Amino acid sequence: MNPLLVVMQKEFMDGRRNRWLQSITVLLFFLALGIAYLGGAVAGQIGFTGLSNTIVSLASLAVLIMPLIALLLSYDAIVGEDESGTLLLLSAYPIRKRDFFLGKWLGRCAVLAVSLLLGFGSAALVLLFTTDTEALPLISAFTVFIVSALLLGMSFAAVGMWISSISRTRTQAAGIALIVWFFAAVLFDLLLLGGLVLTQGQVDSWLLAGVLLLNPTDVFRMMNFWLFQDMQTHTGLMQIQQDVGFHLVQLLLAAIAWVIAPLGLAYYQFKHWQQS
Amino acid sequence: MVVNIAGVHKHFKGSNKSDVKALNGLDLTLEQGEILGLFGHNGAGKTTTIKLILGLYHPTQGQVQVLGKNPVTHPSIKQNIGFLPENVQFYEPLTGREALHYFARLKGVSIQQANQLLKKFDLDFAADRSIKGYSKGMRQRLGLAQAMLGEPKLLLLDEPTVGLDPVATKQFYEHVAMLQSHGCTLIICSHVLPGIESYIDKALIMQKGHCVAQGSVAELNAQAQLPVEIDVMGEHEPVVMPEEVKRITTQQGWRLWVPAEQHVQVLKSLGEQSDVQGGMRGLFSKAPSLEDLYHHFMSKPAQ
Repeated sequence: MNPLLVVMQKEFMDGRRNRWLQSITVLLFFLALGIAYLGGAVAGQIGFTGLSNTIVSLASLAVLIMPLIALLLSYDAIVGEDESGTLLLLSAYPIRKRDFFLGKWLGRCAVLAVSLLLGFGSAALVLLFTTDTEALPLISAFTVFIVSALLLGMSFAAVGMWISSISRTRTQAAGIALIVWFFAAVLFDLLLLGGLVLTQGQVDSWLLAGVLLLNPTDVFRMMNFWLFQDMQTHTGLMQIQQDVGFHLVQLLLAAIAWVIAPLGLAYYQFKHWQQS
Repeated sequence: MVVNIAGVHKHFKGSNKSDVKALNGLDLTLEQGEILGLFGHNGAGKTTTIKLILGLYHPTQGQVQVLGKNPVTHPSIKQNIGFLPENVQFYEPLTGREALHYFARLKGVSIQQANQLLKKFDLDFAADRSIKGYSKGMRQRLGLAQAMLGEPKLLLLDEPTVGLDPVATKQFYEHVAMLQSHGCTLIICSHVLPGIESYIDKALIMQKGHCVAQGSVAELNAQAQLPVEIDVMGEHEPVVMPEEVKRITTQQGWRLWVPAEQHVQVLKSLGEQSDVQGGMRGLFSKAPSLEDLYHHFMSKPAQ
């Protein structure tokens, strides 16, 4: 078997062994159903309040959770093996660095993909059979949602691989991962909103939209809001997407770029890793 | 020739712009079936030498050839190399069998061979338990089994007996002898010397990136000319020629240090005295050990 597949398989099995796979699946399943049925509670409604509300609320939560899960899955991928000495051991094996690195990343992506499919997929099935939502819009909305969430997860898994390749210890990597998560998922949008308020909105919306593309979490949100552009659900920064109106394909390309760029950077770091 | 290192220097960029000279002109050749002991304190250059052999570093100067090839440009030679790093922690949540199967698949070795190695290193009884519960000796045997995957021609073992109890250490050296009988060439890095000397063909003593001595234990002995230690147990002080032989009194009698070339003659004379004087309860002579040689060469300034 190809060494890349051997490494990938082991990483996936590790994800199953330490219950990451199962925990994420269950978390996503209950998250989706919880939001579908209780998401309207804030507005005084109980029960399923419609597909667009569900997806938009779900996206707002997933944008926090997916990067965190992906970073937690990957922050110790390289530095963990370095600390235990297996990285040096494997450097004596006839395998290419590229195969090892990609196998580690793809194994983690597989954990994300399977739990997303099982967790959100089964939630979608429950909604299909218990509500009167039409099948086609539901399936297409959840497909975009799952694919975009996977791309978001893959992107942050790649960022985690990069963090893992520049860190000297697991603890250091965990610290950097938390800072990166906080910046990307929380601080970035706050800073941008703050900037908008300060300039009283006198900023070109194309420039703002361009800045939004610089954060994979915003790319993810724009993708999920795209399906419901006609809805009056846009708040805060997502209003910009409505003004500028990126096409789904453009957003998809941006999301893919956000997977490839950190992955390339991470691999470059890993390749030039000086073993001490 | 399995390993040929000729005039190798390896310098690293230091933090304060000065180069760290990890190796300074190392020469080393190893033929098939030889066992080399690589000795030195921490930072002497042992691990750097191993990493050069594995092709993880380019030498700053000089030539490294392993199994007839440059290890940096021919990573395929790793198929024939086994390696056990110092202080490696195998994937603890995995069972011994799972870990060894993983390594076997990475090396393209059959699962059957991995299972046979588990048996050979007396691990089959614990093969399906997680490595977390393994003793230090079991972990080290698992490490050796791992290094033996694919029947390598060259084995590199870094501090393989650290933390092993005397029984496990003895077992380890028995395994080493078995590997040698299969034609395997071994490099054993260590600063733990007792027990190793009867298993190695050659010793290389390093200090601060320099080779301070190289050769068989007998050759090092001849080079060092260390005195032979003789313990005389008894009440009467022995009369020894020449007079300048260094001596101290011990609880049991006297300890003498006799120049190597005179020690047979001195022993003979002591034997005669024991007949005449009586009261000599014992006479022991001890040749310099590898440890003595090590301390002798380490105390000399590096060239």
